[in-house]
Amino acid sequence: MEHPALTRRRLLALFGAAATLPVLSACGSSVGGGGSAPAAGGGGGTIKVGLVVPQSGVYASLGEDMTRGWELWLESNGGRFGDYTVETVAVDEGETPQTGVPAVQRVIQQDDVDVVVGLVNSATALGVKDLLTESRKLLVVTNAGAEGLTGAAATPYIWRTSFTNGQVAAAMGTHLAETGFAEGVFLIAPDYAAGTEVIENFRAAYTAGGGTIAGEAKPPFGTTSDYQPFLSTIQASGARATFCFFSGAEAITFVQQYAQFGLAQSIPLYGSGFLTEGSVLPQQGQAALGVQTTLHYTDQLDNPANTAFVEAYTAAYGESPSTFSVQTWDAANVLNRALATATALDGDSLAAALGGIGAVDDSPRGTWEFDGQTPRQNMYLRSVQDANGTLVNAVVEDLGPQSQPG
Amino acid sequence: MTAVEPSVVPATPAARRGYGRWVAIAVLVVLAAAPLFLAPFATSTLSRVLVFALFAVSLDLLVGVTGLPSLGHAAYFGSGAYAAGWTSIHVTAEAPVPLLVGAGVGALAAASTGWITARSAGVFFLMLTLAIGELVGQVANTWESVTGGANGLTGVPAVRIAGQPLANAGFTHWYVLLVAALGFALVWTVARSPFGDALRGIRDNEPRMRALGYSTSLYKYAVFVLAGGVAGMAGSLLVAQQRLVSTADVGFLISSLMLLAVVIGGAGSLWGACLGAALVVVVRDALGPTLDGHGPLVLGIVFVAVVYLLPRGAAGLLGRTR
Repeated sequence: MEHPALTRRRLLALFGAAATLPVLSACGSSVGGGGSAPAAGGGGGTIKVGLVVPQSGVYASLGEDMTRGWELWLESNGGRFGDYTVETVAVDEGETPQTGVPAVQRVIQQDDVDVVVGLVNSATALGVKDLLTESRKLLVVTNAGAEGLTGAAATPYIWRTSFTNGQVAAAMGTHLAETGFAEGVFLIAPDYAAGTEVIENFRAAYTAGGGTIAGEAKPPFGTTSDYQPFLSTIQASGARATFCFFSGAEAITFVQQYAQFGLAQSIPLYGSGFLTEGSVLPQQGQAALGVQTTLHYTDQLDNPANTAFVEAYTAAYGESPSTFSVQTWDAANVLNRALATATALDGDSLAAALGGIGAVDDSPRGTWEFDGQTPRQNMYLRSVQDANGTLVNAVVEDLGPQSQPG
Repeated sequence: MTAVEPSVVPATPAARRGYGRWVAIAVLVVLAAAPLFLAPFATSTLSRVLVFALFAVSLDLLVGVTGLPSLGHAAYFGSGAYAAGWTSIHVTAEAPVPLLVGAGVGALAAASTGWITARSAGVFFLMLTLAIGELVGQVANTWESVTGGANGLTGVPAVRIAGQPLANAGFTHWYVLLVAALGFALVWTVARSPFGDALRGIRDNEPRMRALGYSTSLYKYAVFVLAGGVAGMAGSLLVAQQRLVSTADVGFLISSLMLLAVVIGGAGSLWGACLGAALVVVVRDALGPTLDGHGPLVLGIVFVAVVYLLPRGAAGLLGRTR
């Protein structure tokens, strides 16, 4: 018995040693001053960027698109922001704040980055607010759409190159009220924070345009796989159209069941753009045909910047870019512009520089600008169409610029 | 384990106890000195280890000592965390208040659900706690005015002691260490008391304990409430350390991770539960983010490897059987 007992002990010691390695590798003291003071790089230094995007979990495909957008910008611009060489530290955000917050903590405290870029999960982004304020580091959010990240409750250290949940919905609200659907729209979105923000902002814009709500449903988030009871309610409500917000697996199920139930012909389906964006669209298949959504980007946009972007992206990765790629591509784009005038790499200097970059005129999504630290950008009405066997979000109409509502 | 004693372990129980005491003191000294030598991220990882170690210890009181495997223990951890966070934001963040509120709400939540679970055992207990955990998770997700829903409860101020906020990772670590040590001592004392002996009796043979005149349901109810209270304490430490509570802190995933941590450490051994929790936190939070998205995979492999190599958990290495 002695021999195996010894091996086990050695094994445990090995596990123990391996486990303490990352902890011990970073030496220094955590008592004393309120955070380390980064050395300002001056002209021609290095800027260290922490790219925190999901590499595992349900958002991994978004994370991959985001990493590609980031890398593509750097590759096409020599890996530099102006005079600064960019050093990227990529870490895994995971699914929830339980993994996301330590990941951000890690890049700020351990890797000592100058800027954090990324974040898909809104709760993670909201949860690192204090950390950023205390360490005076800038965060450029490249997806998370919670209203509270920017706007009234903002901290100067959080900027966003993506969208807000309400911004996308408000554009559709105004559009539907103006185009003959004012007599009644049925609203459906999962029962969680983002769903609520979408519904409330759609309602505000739609009723302001003279629309009346025909009914409303909030299926439980993440656990609903059969939407039949809700579809029956929609059918019986007498609505002229349905407006919905779903993403990921729920978007696939809802769009398919909506078509199978036979509602697609009688009550057209409208939604927030994530309903048919990225990897969900091919899986929805023919059921998605004709579904109309609003979003700030589609790879079908006809402008020179987008044509070049789609071409370079497709050549590099073998598939079309998604809105997530563009959001992160633009993060690199605005940081590059900000560093032309920034005096140092701390959060305050970078925030001041970002505030002064003006209109971003070479973005694939069209010209946009910061308004309250989040984009004021054009919203596009898109319709799912079959282009030679591939489903695409074709542009129907440019709905004009839209700010964060409220 | 056979009667063959590894030579390094002292032979007599008294000597073994003395040995254990010195190890405990050494560990405490190392943990207390850590912030002086470690960078902030390493320190806050260590604080998280302590938070989840206390959570695992409270769960071990149910699983290892009483023989009640719970899959919903995060419900009380999360309730305590939300309560402590809400109190810090809206009432006061002055030192003992969020802690007491967290522990109180954890115990209260356990008391109001425990009367259902206390009558069951084994798989039924597992399923009931799972259901309760899911219910509490649903409440956290939909009661947006209090919990912040899916966006989480954010903007929690730092714990204040005598009016001074704990400004950096080092001070926060000492606060977490102090409370976690108190919590551990509480659970350790309970487990060593006659009450703890009765709990072990219930674990080994409940009908016999009942025949001996013990009201086993009452004992199970009492330990369930106590474990809920200690989990609530751990929850309040989580808020102090992370300054954020999200629905993931109440969910099934964290309940099951901690149950695995207890099993890895060796159910019934309180320090083993701490080791298990440390393994989970270090692999998930310190190593995970840099593994190119393979963090969950590595965690899974570590689980399988440890359970395969150490079927009795880390505690099995010392050959103690209780």
